[in-house]
Amino acid sequence: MVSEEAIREIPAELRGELATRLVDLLLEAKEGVKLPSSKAKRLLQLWSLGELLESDEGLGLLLEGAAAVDPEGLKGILDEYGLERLKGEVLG
Amino acid sequence: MRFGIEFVPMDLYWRTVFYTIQAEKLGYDHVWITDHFNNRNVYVTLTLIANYTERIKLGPGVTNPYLVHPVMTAQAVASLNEIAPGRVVCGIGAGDRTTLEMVGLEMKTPLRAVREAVEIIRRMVAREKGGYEGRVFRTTGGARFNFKVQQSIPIYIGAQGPKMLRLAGALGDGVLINASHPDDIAEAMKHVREGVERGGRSLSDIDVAAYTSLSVAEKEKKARKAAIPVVAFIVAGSPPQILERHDIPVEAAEGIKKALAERRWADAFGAVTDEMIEAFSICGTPETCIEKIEALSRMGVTQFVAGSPIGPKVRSSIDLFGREVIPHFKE
Repeated sequence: MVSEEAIREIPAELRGELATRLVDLLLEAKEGVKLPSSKAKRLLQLWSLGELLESDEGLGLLLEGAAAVDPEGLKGILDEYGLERLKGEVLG
Repeated sequence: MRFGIEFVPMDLYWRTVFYTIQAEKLGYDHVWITDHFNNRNVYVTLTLIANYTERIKLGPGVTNPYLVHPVMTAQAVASLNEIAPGRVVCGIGAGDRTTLEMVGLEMKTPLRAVREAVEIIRRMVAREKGGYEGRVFRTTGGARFNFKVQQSIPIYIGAQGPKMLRLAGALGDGVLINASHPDDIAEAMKHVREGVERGGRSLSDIDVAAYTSLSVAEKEKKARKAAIPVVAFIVAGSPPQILERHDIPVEAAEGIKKALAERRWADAFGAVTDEMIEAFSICGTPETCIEKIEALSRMGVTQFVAGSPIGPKVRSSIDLFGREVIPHFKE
């Protein structure tokens, strides 16, 4: 689980762009099957409610999902945005 | 003009559902899920879509009566209708001969099989009493649902050849014309109109859907590149008269077919020409797509179905089409 504190440290102006990039990473990952079914269902629920890209829970879920299906790709994105603490928390 | 989108459930279930939710948010009206035994199950996918959406109409596009008996198709769409009341549609066609042969099924009397399947599905959904005596299918009076279906379920007939198009015009609540080019749609519309007249109906009684291959992107070049693999398969499967209509040499199509069969992808895709892309897809920038869809609309098409590949990146292309093309026709 990504902590709420780590999510809240993401600068507000970055959140939308980061969320969209994580969605694309999830949708295009070769190992998409590694996304646990429970997370996939919650992701769809938040997406249908319009809360996936904006909420803390949605962003946390996208980060966890991205770590499961394409950790290297996620590392690259987090490095690009300089989100070191978040990287440490999500990728260990 | 209504807008539909087609997905082939080759991809993970949650991706197909994700894209459908996205499409619903952007104003697409229908989602069609293809039915092939070698992909994920169509009704499992549709059930999940029904669960996560509120407005978009949904249905198989298309199932066939050889692999799935019409009473089972009726049962599936009727059950789905309980999860998505009034949103379910049912697309049915003769199926793909090659795929049927893979499982030892012969596509016998396709027109009759589709006609009888449509009649049986309608009877089952309406819980009509009495059996059905067809030449392909028979049911006894006991073949009735133990539950009521609250809404009607429109049946669309998937068609490409003249006879099936006429049947669709005469019998369907809608027709799914498997074509993208105005010349092919114009030819198909002649037959649909004939069918409509034979059925004593008017063209406005049915939803005429162009089931196209779409590739939309900000840059023309990217859209064309994404269209190539799908166009290769369409060219390989097209009958000679359709190839000739577009001045595509039959030998070129044969070459692509052979390369695909031998899994020589680079050869197959490398042989796809601009003329082939033009003939078998709606491809280009949103502006180009608008022009092409307008041409189809003038011919009587009332639903545009955005079929595979949709674009170089599915999410971005669904978004681009939803933001820049659909509003042009809705506003």
